[in-house]
Amino acid sequence: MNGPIDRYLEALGRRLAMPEAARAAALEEARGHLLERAASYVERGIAQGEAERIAVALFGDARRVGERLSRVFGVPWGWRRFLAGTVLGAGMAWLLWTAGSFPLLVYTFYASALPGSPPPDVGNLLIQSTPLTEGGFYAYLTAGWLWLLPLLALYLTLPCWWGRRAWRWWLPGAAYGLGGWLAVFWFPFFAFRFDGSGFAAEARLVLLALPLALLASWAGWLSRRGMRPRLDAAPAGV
Amino acid sequence: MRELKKGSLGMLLLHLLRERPSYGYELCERLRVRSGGDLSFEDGAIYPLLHEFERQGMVEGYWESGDAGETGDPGASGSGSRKGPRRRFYRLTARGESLLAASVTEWRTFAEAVRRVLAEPNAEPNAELAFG
Repeated sequence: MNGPIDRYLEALGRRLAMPEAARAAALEEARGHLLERAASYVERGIAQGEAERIAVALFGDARRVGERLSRVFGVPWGWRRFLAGTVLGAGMAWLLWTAGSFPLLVYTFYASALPGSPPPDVGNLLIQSTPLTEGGFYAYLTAGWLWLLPLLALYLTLPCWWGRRAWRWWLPGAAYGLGGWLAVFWFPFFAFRFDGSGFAAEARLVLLALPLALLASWAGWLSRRGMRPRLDAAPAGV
Repeated sequence: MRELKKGSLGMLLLHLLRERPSYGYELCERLRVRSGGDLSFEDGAIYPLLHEFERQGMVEGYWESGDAGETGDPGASGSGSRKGPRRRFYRLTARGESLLAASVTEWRTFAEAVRRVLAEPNAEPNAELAFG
């Protein structure tokens, strides 16, 4: 195991940006081809390892083959996907903000609670954690801006993945940018309303999350540069 | 030459598939043998084309087991009877057939035009006469 053919298929698999079923089929097809090619060289008296190396070399650069195959199966972006990206961006911004704020609010509650205080109202804390209220915002201010770093990291992951599926360069960023801002529409309001009070400085840190999500989606798009389907790459006629 | 080869690979693949269904490795071998070794491509170059043709409905792909005597390709050479992993065969569809015919016509017209241009100068009509 893990001979030249296996290593090549691993490299090829990493470069296949397509639905999983198509990816598995493409890899199986390539594996069959490489094994048969190598077997033909073994029959001529060449050692197995060398035969596999020749088969891999004849198949072509994994990156180039992967890019060409990905163009065929590339995910086409249109207005429906743009809308899906917007809704997904809004949903994820909402969920991430809530999931990141809730434990902080619980921590803040216990940190400031007096001995013998009643336990927190979990439902109320959960509502306070959503972007609809200011609870999460205050929790981040109380806990310090370092708490924002994991949140920022989470904000970058999904847009990056989504960007890798994008077709036109402006679509992933636009979809996530719009979605994220729709989800936490009050960020700019807080950031600028309290300007000069010491509140706005941290608010601007929170404000970073959404532009970063937007940039992350473009970073994802750029990371698969060359794999984007090109209309002129499709054979016109034959 | 490289660009010419690249541009003609799709047509050649469809032509080979019109003769009989084939799978990727076999297509590479048939191309190499039929061209006397003059036409050789990276093996991996044919798969994006085959998948694109399939997406466009020009060929139809189907899997067959790699066991002996199964290939659906009665004219296949020795490699077809070797035991191995299952293979994805491709066969030409009616749509592929008509597009291939159009492409071959276009290619022959192009090749004939190139041949005429490359012909000996004395075969060219006297252009000077036209300008008096």
